[in-house]
Amino acid sequence: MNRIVSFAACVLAAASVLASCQPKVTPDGKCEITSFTLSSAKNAALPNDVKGVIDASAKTITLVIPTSVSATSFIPDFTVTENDVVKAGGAALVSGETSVSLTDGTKISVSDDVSVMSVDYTIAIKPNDEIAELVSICFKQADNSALTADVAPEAITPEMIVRVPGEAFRKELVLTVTAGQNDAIKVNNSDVESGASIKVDTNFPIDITVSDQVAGKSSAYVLKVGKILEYVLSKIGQYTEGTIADFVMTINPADDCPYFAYARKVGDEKYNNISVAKWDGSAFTLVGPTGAADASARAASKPRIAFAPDGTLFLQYYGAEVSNKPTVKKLDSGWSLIGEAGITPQNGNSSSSYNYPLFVHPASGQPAFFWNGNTKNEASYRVMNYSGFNGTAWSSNVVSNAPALGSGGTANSGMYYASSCVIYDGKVFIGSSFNEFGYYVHEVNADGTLKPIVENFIPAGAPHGLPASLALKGDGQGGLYLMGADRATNTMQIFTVDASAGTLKPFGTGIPVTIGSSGGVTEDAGFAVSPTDQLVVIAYDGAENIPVFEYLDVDGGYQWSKFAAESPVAAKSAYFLEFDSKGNGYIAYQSADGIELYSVGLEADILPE
Amino acid sequence: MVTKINKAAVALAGILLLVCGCRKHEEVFFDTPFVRLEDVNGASSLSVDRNLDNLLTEIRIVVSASKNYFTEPIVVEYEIIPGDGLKEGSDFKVQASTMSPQTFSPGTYSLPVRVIWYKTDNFDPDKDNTLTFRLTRTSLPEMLLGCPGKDAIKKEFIFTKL
Repeated sequence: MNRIVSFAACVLAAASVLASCQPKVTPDGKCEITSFTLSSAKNAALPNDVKGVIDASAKTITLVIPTSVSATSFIPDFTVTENDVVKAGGAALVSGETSVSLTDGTKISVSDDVSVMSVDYTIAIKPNDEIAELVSICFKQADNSALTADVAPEAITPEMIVRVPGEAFRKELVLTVTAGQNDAIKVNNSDVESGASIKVDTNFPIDITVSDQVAGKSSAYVLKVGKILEYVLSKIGQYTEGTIADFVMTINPADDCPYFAYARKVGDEKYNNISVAKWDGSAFTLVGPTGAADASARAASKPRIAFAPDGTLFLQYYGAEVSNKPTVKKLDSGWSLIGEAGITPQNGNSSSSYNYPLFVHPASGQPAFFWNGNTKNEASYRVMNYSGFNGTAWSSNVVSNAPALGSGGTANSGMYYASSCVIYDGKVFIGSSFNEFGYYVHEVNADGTLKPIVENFIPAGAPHGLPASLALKGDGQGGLYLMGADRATNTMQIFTVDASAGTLKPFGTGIPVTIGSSGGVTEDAGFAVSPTDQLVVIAYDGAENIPVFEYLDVDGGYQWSKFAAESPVAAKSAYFLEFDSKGNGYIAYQSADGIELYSVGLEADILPE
Repeated sequence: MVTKINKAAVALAGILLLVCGCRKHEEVFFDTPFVRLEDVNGASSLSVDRNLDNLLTEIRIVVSASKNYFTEPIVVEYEIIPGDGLKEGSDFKVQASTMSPQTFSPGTYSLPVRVIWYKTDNFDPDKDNTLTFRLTRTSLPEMLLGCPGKDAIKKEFIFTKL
């Protein structure tokens, strides 16, 4: 018995010794989940691996599950710190083996086997947006000294274009990109965090790829960096037929080409006659037979042209053979007289000081014009008269609601100086000036009566408007602009027409001018407004009549900026500026050698493509 | 007797033909993966006007590979061989991000290689003014360089500055 007891004691002692020889487990002092992934290999419902984002301080594991996945039970692969046991709902989890229900708020507990440490993690399930999308893209001014403002495309599309100032064009710039939820971004094959920036060479298109790893989708984008295009002035050429004495330029709405009607003398001709030519985009060509007037005995002068909506050309001139009364012809197979030669009952003031337009009213399709009579003791004398063709005959009358002669401060006040015409949306508008009065803007009714829009507008501080270089232009959007002069500041001034308020408002800064001895502006000038982007372009006499070409820099504080022009020759006439319907601008003036024609347009686009 | 033998021979030949006709082709030629170089018009050469400055040109590396082969990214390598009349940096520049090697992720079948051409004052028409891009290797062993066929068309793309 004793032997048995002794043997048992020995066994116990040996067992005790053996037990004490087992290596002692030292707690690592940590109790954490270090990774948590749902692999698509072990979870057939998942199209891609879902890697949990562990927030160690908040003790959360965020899993972004595609919205298309309805399953809520998954087999997670996870790692933990040493000696940690993971449980969910009291049941132990074995990494890569145990399926567990994972929903928003599920608790995963971790306890350390060799210490008292334990911690609970909360599962956060976030649905994926299922879209790989570029959210924003921007060259920030703060990152790019060559920029004066942030530059971003108007919209995020597969192919995008942004434009930068010339100083930043074809330079290395810093691009900032952001993408959608869970999206990875590559810019030119380099990884970029959403919201971060990367340097790019803008000589080349920039390739951007956005991938949604969860959804297994990707989107590709290309960004091209172009230059902010600037307007350039280019000389098209010079045109003459014999010696040109006077001309006008008008755009034909049917072919968008600039047409020129001019008084000229060819060879040994004794008198000026009238011809029409056009610039067809590549050359000047005669339009109709040269010499439209009967100038065998007397000279013709003061040509005007107008177009019907279908492009039918009407030509007006003052013929000395009919006492300087105006005549209108239409171009069909040749020049066809409209009504009779010498239309007006009295002769008209054909001096270059007076400027009246010919127009075709869209409502009637027939030509009409305003004029100033030059026969004393007639009702038409020096006041605004209207003549219109009704398809059979001309009729003329004094305009009733225009200033009457002598109705101002002096006997010559109210004398009709000039009108300028705009046709827009089937309506005819004219801007007019009268001696010692302000400016007027009217809509011309089909019967020639005038509907006032602005009456007797006098710039603040000025005694009245000034006659020379008056012009009314449209911007292709329904807006009207009038160029007049401000006697208070001695400047040429563009005004916008505020029809609702019945007034004119200065637009841009005034351009200093010289007031001549007769009280008018000395410098010839003309202007036009682009129908595509409302660019305002002006041309006027500089020193020694060398033309100055400028545009209104709206973004630069409404100041006038000069076009670079290579040594333009001196002008000896008024300036005609017109834009065609596509926004191509034309500037024409008469030099000693003929008609000088310039174009105004955006510089050639250069895109990295 | 002869007729019977002939009939039997004809029948046997017919059966053999049928048996042969039923054999499957072991080579599925149209499934062969290949990679080629071409421009947007599908051409494999392009002339560059030497008078144009900052002219951007683009060719594309195009891979043709079915899903059987395209399970992992495919890396394509190419070399650039300038003639003795052209110098990188002064005559042309290749966009860095489109340089070799290029990696095609599954689902991506075309990647650009872009070249900017510069106008230079020292152009010598008597020199070799070609710039050749030639495919050299892919990570997919089965992938052909150039279109299938002994000529391996579109294995290279040649620019010529004229």
